[in-house]
Formats: sequence, structure tokens, C-alpha cells
Amino acid sequence: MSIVRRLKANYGDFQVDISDWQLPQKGVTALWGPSGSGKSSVLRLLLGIDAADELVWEFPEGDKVLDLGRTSVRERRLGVVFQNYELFDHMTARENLDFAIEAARQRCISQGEKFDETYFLGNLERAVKALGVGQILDRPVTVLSGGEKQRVALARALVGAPRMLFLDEPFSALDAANRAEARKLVREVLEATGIPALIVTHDQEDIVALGASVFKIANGAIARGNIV
Amino acid sequence: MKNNRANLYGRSVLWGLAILFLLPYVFSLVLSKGRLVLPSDFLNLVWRSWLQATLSGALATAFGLLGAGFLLRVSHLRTSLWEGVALFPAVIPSGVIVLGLMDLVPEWRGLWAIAAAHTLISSGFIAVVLARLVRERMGASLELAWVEGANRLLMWRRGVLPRLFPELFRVWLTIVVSSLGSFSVPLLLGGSQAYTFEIAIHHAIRLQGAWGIAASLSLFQLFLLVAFLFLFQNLRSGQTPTTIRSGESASRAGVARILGFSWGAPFLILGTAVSLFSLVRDPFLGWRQLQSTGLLEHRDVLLVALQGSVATAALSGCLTALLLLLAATSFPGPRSRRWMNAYVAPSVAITGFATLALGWGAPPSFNWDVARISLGAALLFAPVIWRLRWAEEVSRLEGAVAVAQTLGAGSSLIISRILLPRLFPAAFWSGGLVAFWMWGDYAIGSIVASRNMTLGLLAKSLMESYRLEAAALLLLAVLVLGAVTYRLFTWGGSSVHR
Repeated sequence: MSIVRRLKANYGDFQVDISDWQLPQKGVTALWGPSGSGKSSVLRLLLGIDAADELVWEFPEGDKVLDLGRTSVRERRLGVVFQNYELFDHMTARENLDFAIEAARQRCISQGEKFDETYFLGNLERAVKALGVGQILDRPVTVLSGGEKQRVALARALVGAPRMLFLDEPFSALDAANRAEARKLVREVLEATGIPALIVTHDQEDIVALGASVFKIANGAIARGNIV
Repeated sequence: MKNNRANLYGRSVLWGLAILFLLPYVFSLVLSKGRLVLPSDFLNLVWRSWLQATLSGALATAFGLLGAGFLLRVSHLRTSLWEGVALFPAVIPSGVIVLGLMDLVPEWRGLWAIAAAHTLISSGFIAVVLARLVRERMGASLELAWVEGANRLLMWRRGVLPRLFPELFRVWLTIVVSSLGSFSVPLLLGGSQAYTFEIAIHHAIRLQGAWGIAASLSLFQLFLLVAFLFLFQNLRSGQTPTTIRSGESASRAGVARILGFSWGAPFLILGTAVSLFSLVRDPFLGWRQLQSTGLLEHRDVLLVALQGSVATAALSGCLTALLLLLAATSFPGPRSRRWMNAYVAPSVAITGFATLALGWGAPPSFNWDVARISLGAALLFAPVIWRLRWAEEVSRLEGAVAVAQTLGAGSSLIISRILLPRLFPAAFWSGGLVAFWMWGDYAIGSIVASRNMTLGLLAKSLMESYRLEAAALLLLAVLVLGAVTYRLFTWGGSSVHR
């Protein structure tokens, strides 16, 4: 269990104020709430994309407890799949995945760690296989369908072995037929990799399909814990 | 809200850029020694500028609305062609329109001549904007009105005009602001009186060396600009965009055609017709006139002007592209982007004179003049082009940069693999556009250059001495060579992108 001891941020007309939020380190956790409740802001703050006024996030790793609030975006080693996937659209799918390995190499070097290329290549191979993107690797991402883009984005996020995976409304851009299939695939991949995930959604079907434990957010604060 | 990605390069580049952009302000304040003095005829100047700007705005908006009526009438298959015709005067160097007006109405100077030129330059652009607004935003409700039996007059009176009013006001305000800051048009058509602050600033520095007056007028103009921008941003358009799905546009264009009227055509094509009038008629006589002026006998004059145009166009394009690339890769966060969105150069005249700081004290030389004109052009055009294209482009990259950082990528990887490949086409396009404009520039050149060192300056000089045919020949060459330069830049961009 990782604990967000304190998360405070001021967006002018909107504040995020969360304390002692216990995030499971297994399975899928959902942050559920209506539009404007602050769920995407919380995700951006935890990722480090937006700077929080105050963030203490105790994250157990091995026999140590890290404070991720004190680390930079890249040092947090978190994965993210945004609603619009944010693939690098001047690249092919393979180049997107290769970029993740190159980025992991830079992170290892900057943190003084040894970069084990075989390990990351293995991650890439497993992600490609699990998500079934082998056939589309050499295509430019601009020609991929929504479902294919999502699978490439998920594979890219998994290559760097993130501590936790963040999914921001990941199914909302898909049509109904593809959405059910995508939910099933994401659940299978997350179960297979064992990487904990935090999904931000307003769709209760996402929560049910992923078997997630739920936190409801309202006005930038966690209103109710673990309601499912 | 703060953004965690303050600067990908480090503070030195950020500060360097800030200093460069603030150079004209600092230079004018230093030379004015902090003494801000208003000119004796300040109130008259304000009145004349305001009258000129509001008149330009009113005429351009009225012509634009009537032109939009014609654009709505044309078949949607031919819309692009007519939009191209309408946009032509807004894209080409303003000297071409001025030449057309001087050719059609000789000796016409002052308030009405300036307002006419501004109207011809911008009314086509306004027509395109308004026609698109009607077609795309009001299509659905107009379709309903049409089905319910409303005729054209009723649809305009009750359906279009009341809803278009806020947009018409915004358009008017835009033209007012741009006319207040106009320089190249009143420089040739203004006559003895200053009808814009820019000209008054130019006269204050060039004729009196009064930097205190120039700085105070520049600050006042900036204050007006900020006030108008504030007003502009707080105006609500009152319209919710109607999303047009594929296949719907043709039928919506159908209902728009009911609104259109063919008698709006002259208002749409007037600017293009005036531009082409001199360019088509005069160049044949221009060669003979050039011979009579003796310019062809002194070939080095033409050669120097050609060299000067090539050099200033190429260097201005490259400098602008470089400035924009540096700004985009230095300012990935929303806060610094806002600064760039809000930045405006103090005035064409002040910026032009500020570039004299480059090589201060050095004897007049071709190279220094080229460098100064190019720097001035980059400082003036970069913020405009940033708002035109880059603000959105950079904002679109924010998510990609965020993902790259969460993956662990450092600045070098993000800049080399994400930002530069995605921004190169925009950089080359911007460079090409500025190069095209600079082929025909005489505004910055007339402030900075010590002689007629570009074709644009030579054309201005010929226009001032009413050798319009010769000027038309030079401006035709400027348009052709400018288009070739633009093409070379965009070709370079697509090659690098590949």
C-alpha cells in the first residue's frame, strides 16, 4: 500500500486537497468522479506533470519507503496512457517503443544505475506479444485505428517497468464494440504484469470490467474510500 | 498552476531570449534617458489615429460582410478558389496595394487613402472568416429556418446578423488595432500628417531625434493595444460551434447558398483587382521607365538591391525560424507560453531603430544593414507568427512531452526526438512566410538602411517619385522571387521532416 500523505495544489478557481489516501499496490484502483471533480488534475499531480504545492507520497519499494513527492517526473518511474494516447505521431509504432527504451536508458544513467538493455528489450517483447501489436510495428501511428493506438500506448508505458501505471479515461475515445474488448485486454495485461494501476474514469462500466477498487473524488478531495 | 517543466535548456537560453525580445523596449528607454514627453499635438494625433483606425475598421468590416455574402453564394466546390482570391491582398506585401491605389487615384493622400488601403488589404480576409462562421456555426439552425419557410431576408435579419454581431465587433476591433499600428501604408499614403502612432514615432526619431516623444508614444500605443486585447478576450462570441460531420458540409453549404448574393462579388475581389491592376498593366511600360531613370545603366544599383533582398529575405526567414524554435523548445510550460502569446514588439519604428544597436558606431555597410533589417523583421514577425500557428502547435505537444518525461527521457532526447522533428515543418513554413514578406518590405528597411539596398526600398523610392510602372515591374519581380523563396523554405522543411 502506498500512501499519499498530503497532496495540495491550487489551480486558481479550484483546489486539490487530499490527505492520507491509501493506494493499493496490487490490481486496479479507480478514481471515479464526474467531469470537473479534479480526477485528471490528481493524476497529473501524482505524475509530476503539474507541480503540487505540497506532495508527500510514501511509496514502499523493497525494504525502503520512497517519497515520490520529492522526485522529478522522470525519476518517479510511473507509466501513463492518456485519453488521446499521446503517441509520437511523427514516428512508427516501433519507434515509439524504441523511444521508451532510450528514455529508460537516460533515466538509468541520470540516476547512476546500470542500464540492462536485455531486461528492457524483454519487457518490450512481452508487451508486444501480450498486446498483439507485432503486426503493426512498422506502421506510422497516424494510420492506426483508435484501438491499435491504445495498445501501442499501453505497450510503450509498460516497456520501462513502471512502479505504477496511470490510465486517464483510456477507453473513452473508443467505440462501444472496441471498448469491451479493450477493457478485457487491459485487465489481462495488468494481471499478467502485476503492475498496479490507477485509472481515472467517469464510466462505471470501466470499473466493473477492470474489477477495480474505487475512490470517489469530488471538488478535488477524496469523498469516499474503497466503495466497491 | 505551476508546471514542472519550466525550461528544457536551462535558464541561460531563456534569459537570452527574454533579453532579445526586450531589446527594443530597453533601447528606447535608454535613449530617451527616462524622460517621457508627449508631443505638442498629442490630442490631435490621437484623434487622427482613432479616426483613421475606426474608419478602416468600419469600411473593412462592411466590405468583408458583403464579400462574405458572395462567398456563401458560390458552390462549395469552388469555395477554395474564391477564398484564395479573397485572401490574396492580405498575404502579399502591402506595397502592391499601395501601388494599385496610387496608380488608380493619383495624388490621393491622407485619411481616406489610408483607410481605403487598409480596407482593400483586409476585407477579403474578413469575408472568408465571416462566411466560414455562418456556414459552420449557424448551418444547423439556418437549415431549420429554411425548412420552416424563412426567406433570405428573414434569415439574414433575424437569424444571421443578430448572432453575427459580436463577431462583427471582434473583426472591427481587430482591424482597428492593426490600423492603429500600421506603418508601411501611411508611410507612403499619409502625406504630411501622421495618421498612426507608428508614423509619429518614426518622424519623432528621424526628423527630431526626440527619443522621449518616441518612447512615450510607443508606451501609449502599447497601452491601447493591451486595453483592446483585454476587451477582445472578454468579448464572448455567443456562438457554440456546430460540429459538422463528414457528409454534412455539402448540405450545410446548400443552406448557406440560400443566404448568399452574387452582387457581393465586387466587394470580395476589389482588393485583388486593385493589386493586379498595376502588376498586370504596368510592368510592360516599367522596363522603358527603368531605362529612362538611368537605373539600368547603373546596373550595380539593381544588383545591390537584388543581393540585399536575397540576403535580408533569407536571413530574416532563418532568424525568425530559429527564434521560434528556441522559444518553443525553451517554453514548454503553459506559463512561459502565455508570456510568448502576450508579447508584442513596442512598435515597428522603435524596433527598427533599436536594431541600430547592432554594430553601433560602425560606418554604414551592406552587411550591418542586412543584419539589422533581419533582426528587426525577426523581432516583429516572430510574435505574430507565434500567435498565428505556434501557440497551438506547442500546446499540442505538451502531452507528448509529458509522456516522454514520465518515460524517463531527458531534455536532449525530448528536444531532438520529439520537439524538433515535430516543429521543423512549422519553422520552415514560418521562415518562408517571413522571407516572402521581406522581399517586398520597405518599412523596416526605410528605418534602418543607409541606401536603397533592397528591391522593396527601390520600389518605394520609385513610387515616391511617381515612377509607378517601374515600381510595378520591381514589385512583380518581388512577388515571383518571394514565392520562389517561400517554396524553397517549405521544400527544405519537408525534406528535413522526411
